[in-house]
Amino acid sequence: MRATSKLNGFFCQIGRKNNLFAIAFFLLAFLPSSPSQAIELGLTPSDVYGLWTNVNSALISFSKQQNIDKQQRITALPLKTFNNKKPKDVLARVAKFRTKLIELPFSTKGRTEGLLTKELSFLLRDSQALVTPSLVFLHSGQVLVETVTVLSHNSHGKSPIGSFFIFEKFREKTPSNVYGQVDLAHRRLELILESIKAQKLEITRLQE
Amino acid sequence: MIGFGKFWGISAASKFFVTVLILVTAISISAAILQGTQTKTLQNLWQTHERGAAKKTILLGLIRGTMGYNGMIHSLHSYFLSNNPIDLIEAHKALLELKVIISGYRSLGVTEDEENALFQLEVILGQYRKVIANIEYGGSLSGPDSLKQIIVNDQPAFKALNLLNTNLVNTRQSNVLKITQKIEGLSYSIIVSAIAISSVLIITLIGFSWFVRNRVTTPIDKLVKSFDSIDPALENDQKLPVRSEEWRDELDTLAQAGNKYLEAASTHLAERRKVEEYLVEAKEHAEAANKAKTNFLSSMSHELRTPMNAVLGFAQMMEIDPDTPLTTSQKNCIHHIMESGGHLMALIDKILIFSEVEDGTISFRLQAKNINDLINKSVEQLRSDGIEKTVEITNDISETENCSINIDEVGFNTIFQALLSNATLYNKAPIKIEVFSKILKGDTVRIFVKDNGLGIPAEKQSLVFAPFRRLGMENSSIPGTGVGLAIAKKLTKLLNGKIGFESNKDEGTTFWVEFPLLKDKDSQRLV
Repeated sequence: MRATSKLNGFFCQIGRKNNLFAIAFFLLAFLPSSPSQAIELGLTPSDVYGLWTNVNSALISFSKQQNIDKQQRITALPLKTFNNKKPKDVLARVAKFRTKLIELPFSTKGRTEGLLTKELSFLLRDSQALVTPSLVFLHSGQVLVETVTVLSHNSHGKSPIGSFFIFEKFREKTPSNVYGQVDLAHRRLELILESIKAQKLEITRLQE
Repeated sequence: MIGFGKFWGISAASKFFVTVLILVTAISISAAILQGTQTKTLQNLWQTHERGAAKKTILLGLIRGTMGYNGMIHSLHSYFLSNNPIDLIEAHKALLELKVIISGYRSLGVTEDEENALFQLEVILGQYRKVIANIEYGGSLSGPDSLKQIIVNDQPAFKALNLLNTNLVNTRQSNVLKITQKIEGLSYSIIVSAIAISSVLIITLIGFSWFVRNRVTTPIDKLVKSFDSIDPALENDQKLPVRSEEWRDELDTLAQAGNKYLEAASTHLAERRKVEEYLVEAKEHAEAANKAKTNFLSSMSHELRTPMNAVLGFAQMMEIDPDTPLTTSQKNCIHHIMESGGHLMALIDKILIFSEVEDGTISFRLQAKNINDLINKSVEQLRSDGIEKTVEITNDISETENCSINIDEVGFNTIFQALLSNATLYNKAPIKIEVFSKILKGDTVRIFVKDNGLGIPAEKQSLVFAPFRRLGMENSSIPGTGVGLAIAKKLTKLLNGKIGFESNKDEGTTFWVEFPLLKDKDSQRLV
């Protein structure tokens, strides 16, 4: 009703003004809408943040499990603060982390598609041009699964993994906060990889 | 107060119809835009409701697949059988995926029932997560919250999924109904507006046609017929029809202008007619006077010639009679009588010829004659008159040696004598006359008589061939009547020839006369 009355008011107004304005209005009304409207799955940077805290926990568990000499340093790495980061920046950082994760003696071949990327492509197709927190969540979820898989495999299933899939409720986290978590995980992974090379640790390769 | 005719005048009515057409066009465009808006609404309805419902249907299928025997349950079964930790990870992964799917489902907009069902599903998934964690830490598989118990007693999950499904089906049915109603409404609107616009357009066109026929075409036809029916002589007081003031329009203004023109033309024609009548009358008078003059001249010439012959004859007899020899004084008197009589006789002859030419009673005998013979005879005649003592005549007619013309010899001689006489009389000593001839364009001969005389002033050249005009020489001692060249011109014309001259003052005059050359020398005819 409110919209209708507003529209009526508008027509009354243009009736009193010149016709050119009305023509311009109608032309604008029929212009095609923007094709790059992103579909947001309702997941927030806080959800992504929760995922990455668990990835960091998994990496600490891995360093303990493998008796890595820099384990204390890895655990004590501080969380850096970043500003003005966008989901696009976070996704780029996630991709960089996954590239580093592949350097572990663990094959991720066949598992790099991302969580449900294919299945939800009908929702995400429009969002290719615009990176949303939900898209970052899907890729981050896959990173968590891969990290936990490495951890579980190298402990021969003895290490409990359920806690890594229970997510703490975070609130009002920003893409910059998420970026800080990803950065922390990346630095921890680098230290782990350095230690593995230095200690010549043997990490079991997963069966493909 | 504006008249009906002014309001429905051609220009005013044209503006009115153009305005109506613009309005109809504007209405058509507005209707099309409104229909476009409705179509856009329809598109929005499909995009926001039906397209969302379709996506939800897919997501519901994904929930079933990820949760069911191809997803989480399958992974758990595998774990029970093989105790492989990877299966447990897969189960966790499935739970994570279900979180994403449910969140995506919710983001498409949910009803209260759907929200309740989704919440129920999330509760069930939370139970699964707890049980799986319990298994890892060596928890029992038995008991009311055990995994087996949850899997076997999965009624709540089915119930939630069925609720979602039912809700979706209802939503989609409702959407289909809404969209169908919208399409029907749009179709009806399109038909109604098309009929309305077409009707207005047809009525406008009919009105315009009626207007053009009654107010433009028919009045123009009437005007044209009125113009056609007007007598070109404009003798009667004829006028174009003009309607009364209240019905008057542009065509009436045109008719009024036409009437003004007709009135002016009629006045002009009446005046002209009077002038013509006067001119005809004057012409008749002039012709009658000319006829009377010619008759008078002819009669007088005949009447004078007879006694003159007697005078000259008796004078000659007195001069030559041996029985009565004359004294010297008497001889002088007789000589004066004969000289004056001869001059008077020549004058009478000329006037007689002129009057015959004027009244058309002169007759010719046309014969093929050598042009040079004709010229030589005329020149010889002049010489025989004793002129050659004072006049030098040169003759160059070699170019026309074998040329003949069809001519009356007497007529030609009269013409040529007039030219020679003119060249002799209006001259200055020493008098030189050149006679020469040329062939023009192969079928005409032109004979020239050139003198070294006084020449004719330019302002008097137009009167050279006028009868009884001597161009200021009337009171001079040069004898003449002023009819020689007039006779020459008329005779030349009657003999199918042309005559003309070129003259400059104090440089002499060259007269010429030309005739068509004869191709058949034997042809003779009498005019």
